[in-house]
Amino acid sequence: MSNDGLDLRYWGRQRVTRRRVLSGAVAGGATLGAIALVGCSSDSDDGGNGNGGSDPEVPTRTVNDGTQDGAGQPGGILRVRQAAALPSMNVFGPGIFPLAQGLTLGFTIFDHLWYVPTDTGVTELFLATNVEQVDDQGLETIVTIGDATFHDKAPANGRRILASDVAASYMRFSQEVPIGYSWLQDVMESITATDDKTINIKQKFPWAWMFTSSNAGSPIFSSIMPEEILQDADFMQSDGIGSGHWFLDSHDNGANVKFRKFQNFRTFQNGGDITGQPYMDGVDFVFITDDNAALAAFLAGEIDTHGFSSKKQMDDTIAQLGDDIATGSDLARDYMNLMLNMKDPTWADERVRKAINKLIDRDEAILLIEDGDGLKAAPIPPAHTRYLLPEDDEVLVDYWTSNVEEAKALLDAAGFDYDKEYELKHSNRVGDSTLGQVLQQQLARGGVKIKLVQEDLVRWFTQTLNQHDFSMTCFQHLAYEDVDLPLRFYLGADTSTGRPANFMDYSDDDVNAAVLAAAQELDEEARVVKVLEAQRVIMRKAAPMFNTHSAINFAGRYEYVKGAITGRGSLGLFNRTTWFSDEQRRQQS
Amino acid sequence: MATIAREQAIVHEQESWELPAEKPFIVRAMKPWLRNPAGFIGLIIAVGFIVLGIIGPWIAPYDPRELDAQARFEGISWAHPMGTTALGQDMFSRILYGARLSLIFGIVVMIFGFVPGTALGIASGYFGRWIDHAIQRSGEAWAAFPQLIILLTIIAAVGPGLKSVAVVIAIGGLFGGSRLLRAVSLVEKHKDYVLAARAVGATEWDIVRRYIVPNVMPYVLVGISSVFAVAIIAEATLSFLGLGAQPGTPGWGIDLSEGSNEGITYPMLVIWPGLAISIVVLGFNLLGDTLRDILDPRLRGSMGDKH
Repeated sequence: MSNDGLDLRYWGRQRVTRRRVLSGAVAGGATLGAIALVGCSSDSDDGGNGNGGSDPEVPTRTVNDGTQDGAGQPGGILRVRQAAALPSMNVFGPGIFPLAQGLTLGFTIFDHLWYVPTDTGVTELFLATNVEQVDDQGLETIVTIGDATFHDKAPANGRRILASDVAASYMRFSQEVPIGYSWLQDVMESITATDDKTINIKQKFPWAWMFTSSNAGSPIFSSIMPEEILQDADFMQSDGIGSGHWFLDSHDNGANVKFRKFQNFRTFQNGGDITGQPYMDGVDFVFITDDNAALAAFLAGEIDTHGFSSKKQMDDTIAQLGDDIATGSDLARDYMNLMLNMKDPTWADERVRKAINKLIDRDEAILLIEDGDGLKAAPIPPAHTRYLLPEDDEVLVDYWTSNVEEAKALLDAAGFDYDKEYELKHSNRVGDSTLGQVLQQQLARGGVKIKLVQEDLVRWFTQTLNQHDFSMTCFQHLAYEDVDLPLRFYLGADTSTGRPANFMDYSDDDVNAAVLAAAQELDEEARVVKVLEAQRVIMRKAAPMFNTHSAINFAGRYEYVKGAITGRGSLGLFNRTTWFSDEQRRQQS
Repeated sequence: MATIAREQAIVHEQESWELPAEKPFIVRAMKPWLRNPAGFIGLIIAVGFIVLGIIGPWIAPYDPRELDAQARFEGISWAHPMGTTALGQDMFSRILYGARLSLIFGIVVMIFGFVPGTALGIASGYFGRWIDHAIQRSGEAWAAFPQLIILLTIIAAVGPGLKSVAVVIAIGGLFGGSRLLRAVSLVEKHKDYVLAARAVGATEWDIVRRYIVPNVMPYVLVGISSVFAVAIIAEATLSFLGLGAQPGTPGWGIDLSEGSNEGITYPMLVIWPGLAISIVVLGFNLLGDTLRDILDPRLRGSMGDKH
């Protein structure tokens, strides 16, 4: 049995059960992330930033390009699980839903200008054939696009992609109320097409992570589509037109989505020739809401890939299927956290915040929630190895060290109200719920009384988190492929630039200065240093978002599924190199 | 003389009659139960559930919320007779605490739903006229709405939690109880003892209080056992769906729900709370059926009582 690593659930370890249909808004991305045959094998480049105390096998990354299994063979339909139905195909809204659509369709039926792999941090050009920053400050960027066409569906009917389509797509996304923070609104000043192939992007101020998947390379907010459909909400309710390697073939009211190969997909990428990709004829999503049913479907060979809920479940599956499957693990880029809202004056005192952090036992949380398979998180989650503080960093060691007595002393000194019961709101996702229970018990050790309040995911996201309607909340962040967002979440409001308040309504001059210094440093080496320093400032100030950990995900696929791209985060979702070694499977369409 | 002698003989004969010795109360009380083993089992389960619900938290060996990172997913052992949960919590303790939650929920639904419903039902059946119309039409209006939809509406307004669930189930119990007791009261009000009471000048209130209520009480007991079963399963169902007990709360429904996430790998996580729900609901249903058989003279034959 091969044991090369792969991550079929790049977007997180989401366990969506049948009682959580609405949870699928975000989890849909997780499920559909199963298309990503991304993974890793074991070497030493893990970042090794502390583990959960049970000495887990920390997965590490050995990047390959999907050709490790030899030349791809054409044909076949990949069958993957779909845990939740998409409420529509409209990537523009409303509410939380564009997140699910964006995560699902953004990687598949839509193309993008470029992509920045997490492992290298180097921009890889997709539709763009040339990108040039024309001033030293990085305030103006000229992008040239190559020859490519849209899917052959009305009203685009397979016409050529124009620069004006790209500009219009970005502008359309910028008009939407974004989820969280939007580079499109905060940083980008304008985007215009100067001719059919040239786009001019101007920024208000320099931003180091301009090209990354959090910003101008976002899979959610930079999908390129024909101008004709951008304002057509009725059309986008049930269909989509892009220029991605798959086109949307069919779906049953958002369930059982079927993608098929776009025969006229562009043949170039980053200066190379990708003719023939994608190799497979398509992808079928099989609508299975229950985790146990999904495992049963995988065991029965009804789906080709599966994300396990634990290492034990993976081991049990290996015992049953043996050499028929390949399994592996990957450190998730998503991460769990406890967030305090500064609107509640309780948390205004830095000593109280420090005490709360001191009560969090991250090692225990990893053992309880992840069966020991996880890594502790600093302000930057552990998957971003280039930006990790050394394990013996004084500030980090203090931040991670749980100490109930010290916490009590801090609370006493701050005159903390032990009689009051504090609400900790969380969504009904299993991971969030479990984290809430663990935090409730851990904070109780310091005398902090917590009342858990579970909310439907949509309500929690749109009202509790986005409207900052909480005193305490805990949740799993999405998997960000660069450190921009994990850092920017700590950045406070700035009325002079129009920058909105963060989720915690927290603003600290020192933290703001440190984060901005990092984000606006264009030299990479210098930026790494500044990111490390920003994390120290955040921890010293006990900024009220305490990251706890990232999980290690376990996944499996049938052995005949070849050509997985490993270690590239959501590039796996763009994966066109997957192919079947089994002739019979290649013939099935 | 002959007649006198015959009468004396008869009197003598009557004097010699001996009534059979009365059996002890416990024997008489147990007789119908022993004739119906299923009902007896139901009685034992119901009593056991109530006792556990009361004393459970005192005999639970662990705090049901206590985390133990070193004891996750443990199997059956002396230390943990039902194993442990994903968070290392003792399943036995959670089952015991869960019994209390279900008991409290059942009592709340009974007190705020069925008992007032009983009063309404008696009033509706006995007094009739506009009182009957008002109460029964309200009940029909309530029954016209699917309870799940009403529940979801209430939860959307005030948020999930046992209180919301209890309100809806209690209202359901209120109208359910009123319908049952209305029918019984209608029968009772036309019986001779009511007519006799009225003939000797008893007031309507006296009749209801002294004659109707005691005579419908057996049906109330039957109703209570049904209400408990319904309440327990409603709480478990809605908690399973994430609408009732909040995560972390030791409760059978929520434990079943949380255990189902790892159900294939660790089946005991769902077996114990599932068993608890099934056994107790079965027990109350058996109890209710048997009570109905015992208390309804028309059904006594069906359980073998020939008297």
